[in-house]
Amino acid sequence: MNQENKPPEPVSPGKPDEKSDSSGAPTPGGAADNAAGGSEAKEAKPKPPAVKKPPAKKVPSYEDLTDDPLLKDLRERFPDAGVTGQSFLGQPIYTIELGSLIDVMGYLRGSTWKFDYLVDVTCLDYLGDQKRFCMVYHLYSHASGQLIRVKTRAAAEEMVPSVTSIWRAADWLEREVFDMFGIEFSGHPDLRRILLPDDWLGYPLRKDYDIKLQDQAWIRKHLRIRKVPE
Amino acid sequence: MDEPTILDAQELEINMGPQHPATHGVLRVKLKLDGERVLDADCVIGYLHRGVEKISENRTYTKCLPYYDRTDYLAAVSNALGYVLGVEKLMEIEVPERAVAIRIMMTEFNRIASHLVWLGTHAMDLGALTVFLYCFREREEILKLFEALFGARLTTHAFRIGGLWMDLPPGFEEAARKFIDDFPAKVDEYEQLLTNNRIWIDRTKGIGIISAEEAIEFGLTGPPLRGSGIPYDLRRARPYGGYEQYEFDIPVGENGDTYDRYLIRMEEMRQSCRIIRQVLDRLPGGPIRGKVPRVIKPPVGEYYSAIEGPRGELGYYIVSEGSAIPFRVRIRPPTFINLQALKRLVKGHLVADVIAIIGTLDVVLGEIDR
Repeated sequence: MNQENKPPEPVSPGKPDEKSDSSGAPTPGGAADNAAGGSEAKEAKPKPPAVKKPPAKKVPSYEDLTDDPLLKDLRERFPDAGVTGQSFLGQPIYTIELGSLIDVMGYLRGSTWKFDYLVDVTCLDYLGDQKRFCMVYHLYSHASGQLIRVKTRAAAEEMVPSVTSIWRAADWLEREVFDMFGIEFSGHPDLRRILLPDDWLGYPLRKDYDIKLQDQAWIRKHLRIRKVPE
Repeated sequence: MDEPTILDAQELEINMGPQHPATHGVLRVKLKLDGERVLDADCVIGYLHRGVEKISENRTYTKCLPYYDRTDYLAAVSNALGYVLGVEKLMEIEVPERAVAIRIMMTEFNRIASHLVWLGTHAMDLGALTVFLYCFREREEILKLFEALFGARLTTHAFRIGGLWMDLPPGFEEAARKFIDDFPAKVDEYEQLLTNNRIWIDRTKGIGIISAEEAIEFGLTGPPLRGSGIPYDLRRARPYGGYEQYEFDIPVGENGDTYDRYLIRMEEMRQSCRIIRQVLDRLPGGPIRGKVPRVIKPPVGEYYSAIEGPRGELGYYIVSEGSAIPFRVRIRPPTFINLQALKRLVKGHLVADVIAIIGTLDVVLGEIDR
């Protein structure tokens, strides 16, 4: 099913990799040097196959940030923001409380940290959690070349403050999150759907929106399809 | 309100697109005009929305891959690279040197092919039809190379998690070398047609100027950002997939106008040739696929894998919950974010310049709408 390549190439992975899990052949690669990468630089993959340590397949995991100057600074400045810091595969993740989002983001943008480039805004839907949504912001500083991820959790009906006043790039990104997840941003100048039609019902990227689900009424009305398959 | 007469100077609202030959796909721009001047513009997008991100949450990691070819259909190879690098990072799969080198070569070929489509259509929009024919002639050669290696010309399904589908077919290296030997002269030829062409300069110089600060503010990446003088190229800023081994220059502009962005893309094509030449000169041997488990099941975690696509920063934010199906794959599309700046860029320009500015942003609606 999930075989990805059928070609009769001699190099295609037959059984050997099944074994590799137990015997720990050269697969693992550098778990150690991944964690070491300060600013998530993608370590050079092409390593000479000679210098490989076979055993101990270490699964990458979330590690708490220690001695991180940004984390320390944020904790000092925003004691109420509940800032925590972790890293995964060398990429730092800062989690903050929703209430202090604007203050922390404004600080990250304006202070000496100078995260002037908002790379991306997106959302994760953890259906069933008390705070269902997790907003994810990627920030980059052109001055220092640092990339960070800021996360904050929001409950289902909670408004998330818009960061459009801090980065103009957030405008469409937040509109897309609104379109796909139904999260309302307070203070957004023009919160409309962006990819889906304005009168569409439902938010497709929510986990309780089935992939086959469509807004049947909309389809009937606009596409004039009489019989829509259920 | 009085009945307007024909002599009244009125604001006029018109639709450019979605079916308009110069909007490069189904982009609709609602223009507010005062005569020929643009007062405001509002983009309406989403006509090509297929829910690729939703589909990704219902497919295994390997089955997601072909869908990404169909987001930015002019840069299918780059799209594949960003995603496989991310999954390989999560899975800690090591890719053999040969596969790494071939991936870089094909991605650079893709960059050239994508820039050629941009140049051809951009020039055609501004009235230079000859360039279009020349560009597509050269692009055809690249598509033939794609077909030889990937078996497809456009939606290539180029790479596999852990390496490549197959090794270079016989004669591929010679054909690739022939192309990069000939191609720089062809770029000179395009430049002869345009760079000092009076009409071209009039249509592009001083059009759609954006300052460096504003470009960053809008989150621009790729040539639109470098045109304003910021040398931000992910191949250099955060090297991925082996780019740190190759030498190349990052062209930047000064004025941040359409003309500078044109010059940058022309130079990028030459630089891509340079990278391909280095790859071919020291193409390592060996296997083309690393050890990949049968079932791709990354541990619980997340990774943001970004590459420098032909249009800017293309990112894949992959979140795994430990199953064979991604919890979420967020595609950070470069042109979606670049297009946001259109509103700002067209203000005060003439309607004809809107065409030039849409062209210079190099939008691909398949990627914007996903």
